[in-house]
Amino acid sequence: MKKVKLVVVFAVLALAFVLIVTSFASNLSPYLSVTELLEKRPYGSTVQVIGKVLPNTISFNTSSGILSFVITDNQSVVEVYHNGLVSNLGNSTEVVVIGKYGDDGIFYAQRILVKCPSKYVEKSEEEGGS
Amino acid sequence: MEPGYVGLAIAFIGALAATIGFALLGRREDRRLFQIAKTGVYAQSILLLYSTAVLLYYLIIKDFSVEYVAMYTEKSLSLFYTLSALWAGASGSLLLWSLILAFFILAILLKERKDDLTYYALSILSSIQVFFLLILLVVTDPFRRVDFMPDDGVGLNPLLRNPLMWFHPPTLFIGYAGLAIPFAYAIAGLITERDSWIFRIRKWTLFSWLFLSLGIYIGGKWSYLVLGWGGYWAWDPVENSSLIPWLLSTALLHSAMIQESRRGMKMWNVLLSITTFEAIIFATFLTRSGVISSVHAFGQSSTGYVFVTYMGITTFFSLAVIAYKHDALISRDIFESFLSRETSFLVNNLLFVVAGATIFWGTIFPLINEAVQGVKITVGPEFYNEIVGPIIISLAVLMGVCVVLSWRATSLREVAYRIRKPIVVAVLITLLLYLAGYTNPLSLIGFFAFGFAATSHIQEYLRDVRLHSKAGRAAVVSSAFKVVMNRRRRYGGYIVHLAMLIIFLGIVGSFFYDVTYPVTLKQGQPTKVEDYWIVFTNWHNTVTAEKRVLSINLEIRDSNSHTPLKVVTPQVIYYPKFEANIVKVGILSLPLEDIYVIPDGVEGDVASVRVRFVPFINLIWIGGVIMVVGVLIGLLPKRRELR
Repeated sequence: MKKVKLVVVFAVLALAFVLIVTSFASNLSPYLSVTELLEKRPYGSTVQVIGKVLPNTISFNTSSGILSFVITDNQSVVEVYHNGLVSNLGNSTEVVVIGKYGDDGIFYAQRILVKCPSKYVEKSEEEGGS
Repeated sequence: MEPGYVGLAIAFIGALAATIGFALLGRREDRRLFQIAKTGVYAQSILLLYSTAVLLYYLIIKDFSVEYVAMYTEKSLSLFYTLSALWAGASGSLLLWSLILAFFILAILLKERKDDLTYYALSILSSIQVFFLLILLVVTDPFRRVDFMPDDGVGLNPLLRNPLMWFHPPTLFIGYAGLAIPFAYAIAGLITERDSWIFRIRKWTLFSWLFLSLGIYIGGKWSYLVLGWGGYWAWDPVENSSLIPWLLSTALLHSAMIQESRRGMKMWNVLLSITTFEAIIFATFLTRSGVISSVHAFGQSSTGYVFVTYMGITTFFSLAVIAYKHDALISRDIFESFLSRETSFLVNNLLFVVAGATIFWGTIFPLINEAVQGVKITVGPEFYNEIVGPIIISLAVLMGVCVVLSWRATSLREVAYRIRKPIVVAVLITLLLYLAGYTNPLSLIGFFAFGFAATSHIQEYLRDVRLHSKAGRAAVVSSAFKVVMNRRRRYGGYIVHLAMLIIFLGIVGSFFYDVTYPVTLKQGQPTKVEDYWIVFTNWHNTVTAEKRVLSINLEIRDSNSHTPLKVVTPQVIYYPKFEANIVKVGILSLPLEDIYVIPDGVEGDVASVRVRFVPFINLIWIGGVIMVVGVLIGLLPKRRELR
């Protein structure tokens, strides 16, 4: 009765394969530069954009709790909205904003990763894991 | 010459002597050769202990002329964290890995029956030791001196300054190093053409699995308390790399039982042992080479190439042995029916391996993509959730079914009869939770799976107790205890199953019903968030040379009675030297949920925080404790049965 083994193995693997293939492509999120973001305008899908914060553009609306700032790749700029303050944003050299680009031309960030201008940060990233 | 380095060099010679000596002993007993090989094992253990002590000594006296000490400690670092600097960096943690492996080797030499199987296994384990010592001697020497005396060290990464992070790495390393043992015995079993290797590895695998699980558990808890953005699991590459060997070794613990009881799945067990070993090497390499942040980090240190080469060599060697000894691995087909314990174990194994492969793929894909296409890309957490989610639900259901299945074949009627009560209870539990407001359809499937599998286990237990007590052996109360103690392996396993189900329920609940509210709080003004009032009472900045701490005091009040429940103080700690922010969340832990406050900042009289409600979370922590109990019962040595 080789049948049992073959059927079980085939069924589980086929199911898993279909699941993985369908799920994988839709969950890849590329890193874009600000210029690429403005070229592609990927409305509705979650993307990650790398850019530098223009320090004098950071403002926090205390009544709405919306933090806004502008990021740039030295070619183009985009305004980013985020709900709530982000600690240490002003000191950062580079940020990665993860979220969606709205058709109003504003990037709505769900998460913001702040990279600090430290040579130790890369080390701390690699060793701080869990 | 550095005394610590000399210690490593002699340990290397010891490991080499043990590798060659035990390989020869596997072919032919020889008293003198045994003495030499044994001395090699003792030498590597003692000298690794000595070298580790030397490095600890340098750390404690803060001898900054040692590069490693200068990199990971500083004058102001407390003794407690200074000790943990031993595993803060690559070379120190490889040293610790090596030390742990040495003690596993010593323990096997002392505890296991001395026959050709053990000799070959010891030879293979010592060869792994040779590899680690070679890296320590040639690539990342922990005793390397800088040619000047720095005034102060760089210091310990602020993220690691947490008691949980003190325990997390060594616990994980015990798990990693121990999982080299099934690999060594599998290859030894192949060389000697003896199936009995599978009986030898059980306690070692289980012991290592316990530590691996605990390491992951502590890491999850740390991540929940310290990484303000995350929660307990974020599908981060480092986390993933520790989960892959966990999944594979869990599969191995199950499939080994098939070989023990039914002499089946021989080839599969060998392959699983090998893959688990490669997975622990991969995990060690991924955590310690810096390759995660970018594939470019790969070229920066030579450790990356060394590890990948080693994985290639060991895989090739293992496959060559399999090819050569292929005939010894043929087992007859033991899968007679779809409804049999064997088949349920097969499905279980496939699911664990698919989960492991998926996570592996998601973890390395960004690296491959960057190397091939030059584009940085990330695999979103949804990918893992979408694949691993259905897998763990299937595993939970499977757990419930497998306990009612017997070996070889079970009739559909029998199965239906024995799962009918668990199904009824599961429906009731699901309905109850639905009525309590937990209405997400996917979570309901999870609740059902939990209810079904947990009841099914309890039902089997009650049945055993009833039979035992009916047979006139004892009163029900003492039967309840004796049943477990008489069948420790089985009930140890069942308790771990229950623990996993409790953790599973915690994951399902906290995953689907975790809500976050970004809140802006004006000082002194109560703000209502769900059923609680939150008052931002005050904040203060504490500045020391080392760090700047922003503490935000928030009072959480009950919405009806307005009685204060707790003052939580989330903090943002900034370390200027590292230019790094550490977020400490404030938590009010209630029986049914955690109120979890993530601080974002203060501007004028306004505090910006995120308030999360994390229900069911305590189940995860409770489940972890129960798991330990289960494994310990399963590990208790056999005594005369308690009858």
